[in-house]
Amino acid sequence: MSKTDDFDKFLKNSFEKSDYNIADDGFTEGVISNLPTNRIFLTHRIFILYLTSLLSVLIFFISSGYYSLLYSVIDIFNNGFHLIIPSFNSIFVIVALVSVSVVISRIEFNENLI
Amino acid sequence: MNFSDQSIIALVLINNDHRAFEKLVMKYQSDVRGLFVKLTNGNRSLADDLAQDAFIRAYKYLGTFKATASFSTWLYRISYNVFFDYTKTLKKTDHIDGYDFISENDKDVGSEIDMQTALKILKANEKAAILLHYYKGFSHIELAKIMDMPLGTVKTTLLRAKEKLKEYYNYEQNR
Repeated sequence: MSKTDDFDKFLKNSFEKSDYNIADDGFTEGVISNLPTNRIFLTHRIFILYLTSLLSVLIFFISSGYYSLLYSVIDIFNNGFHLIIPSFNSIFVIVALVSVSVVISRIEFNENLI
Repeated sequence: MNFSDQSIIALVLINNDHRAFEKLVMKYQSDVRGLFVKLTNGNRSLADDLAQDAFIRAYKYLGTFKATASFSTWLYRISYNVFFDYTKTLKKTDHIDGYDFISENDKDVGSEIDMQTALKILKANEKAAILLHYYKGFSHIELAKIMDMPLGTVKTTLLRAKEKLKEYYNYEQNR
């Protein structure tokens, strides 16, 4: 065996000798009590939801123009107050926003887990 | 019931479950604190403070954990960063005071002190490389991930650190 191998073995043995379990002694409790309490994990998803919403509005604006977008938004509020029957535009906006947001947030969420 | 690290992480992420995270802390506290004790030359209170920072940082960034490596490798990477950030706050003339902690079971107190003294001659990244490789058993590739360095740099750092330790021990033997 070479000198380098011997020294490797020596280092490993030295660390093995000094390896031991450290008793918890309230350490875990200390960590848990210092953890932040806000829902920090949602920040990524919230950012994606906002971005997606913005992009959806932008795409709708480019494809259908300003007035369609304006009337769709007005329709959404009117629908909320049951003043008129939901129009095609407003349903399109709602479905687009919800589905794209849900799909993207789910992809982002799965990426973090798997 | 035994949960895998992945299931526990899922619980923490979905429910913001502190109790689930507690299981991870309990599982890894001894390993992480043991590493910090050695990195800080046996300074137990400093080691515990740094270990606590590492776990809190792990909790904060748990959402960015991707299971391309094991949770323990990821946790050691955070621990390494915490230690490295700490060493950056030290002035050049400062050094870490050690020795308030020696092996609890008195397995080999002499060799523990000797090893701690030997590790003092190493730079922070050299000490981390030696400890992660020889003490924690990480491969060169895993070391490169933990220390965020190219593989070649890791090998060079490890070799340089080993040469320094070899010199130290030869000196001690020939004295």
